[in-house]
Amino acid sequence: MGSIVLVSLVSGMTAAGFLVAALFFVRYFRTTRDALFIYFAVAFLLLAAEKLAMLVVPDWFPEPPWLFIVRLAAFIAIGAGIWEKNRA
Amino acid sequence: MPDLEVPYEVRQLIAKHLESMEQVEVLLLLARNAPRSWSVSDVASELRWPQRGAQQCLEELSRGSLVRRAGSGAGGGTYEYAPTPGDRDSIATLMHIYDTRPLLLGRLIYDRPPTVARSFADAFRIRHKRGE
Amino acid sequence: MHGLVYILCALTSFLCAVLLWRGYRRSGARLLWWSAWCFVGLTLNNVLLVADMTIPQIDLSLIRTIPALVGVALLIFGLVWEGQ
Repeated sequence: MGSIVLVSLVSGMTAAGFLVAALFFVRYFRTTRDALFIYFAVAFLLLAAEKLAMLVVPDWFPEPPWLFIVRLAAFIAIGAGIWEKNRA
Repeated sequence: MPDLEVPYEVRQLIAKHLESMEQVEVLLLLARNAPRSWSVSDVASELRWPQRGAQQCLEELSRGSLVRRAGSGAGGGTYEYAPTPGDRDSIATLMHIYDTRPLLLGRLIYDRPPTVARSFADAFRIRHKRGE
Repeated sequence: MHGLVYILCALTSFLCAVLLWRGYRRSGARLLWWSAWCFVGLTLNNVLLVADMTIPQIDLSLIRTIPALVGVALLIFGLVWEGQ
């Protein structure tokens, strides 16, 4: 059984990584004005939020089942971005 | 003129502001008729293009420093040719290349290596545009 | 039901990885290579989560977090190193 401390650490680092990636995507949107990057930025913000759920949920390990909604939203954002890109 | 003799400023101009031959045509239309300002429908009917294509080109051009959006209006606003003084000569050369060496111009526009961001975004295009 | 959602997420990640890999082959932009691996990591993350949910005997709670971390680390490296 993984220790909670270790899982927290990994989750935190991953969340930070997602946030930095989202920042890069925003920057790429500013230079290219391609909406795909907004979709990706939103998606990665949601992925970060999912990892940070422990801040708002007292009983976060193992993950509460409803957390999948956040992750689903992230991947829907990515799917929507790809859809939008191929629509035109 | 061989590729290498295309002046550096012209190649910079293309790299920074011009992504497609359509944009070049709209830009040169505005430049040849300056200082007239054009609406989207004016451009569309002059070039015999659909409205949407003309609108997209004008919007893309107006994000740079070559074309300015002059006013808003029901039809989507009017646009006018508004280059910086430094760009005027380059655009004159561009016009010359367009008139005399269109294939060369096509190569200059479409053969540049894109930025990584551009490549990232283009990777998600499942079917590709011509020229890729 | 939740497993289905995570499978969907895994498929979407995998699609991204494939598209980015293909984009890397076409354009040679190394950022796409790093990004593809990030999405491979996210795919694994989702697959392991489904496995953890459906197979009661094993406990992957720590292991399944690693691919996501490695993936995003590779992405960040690529963004910083290869970005213009």
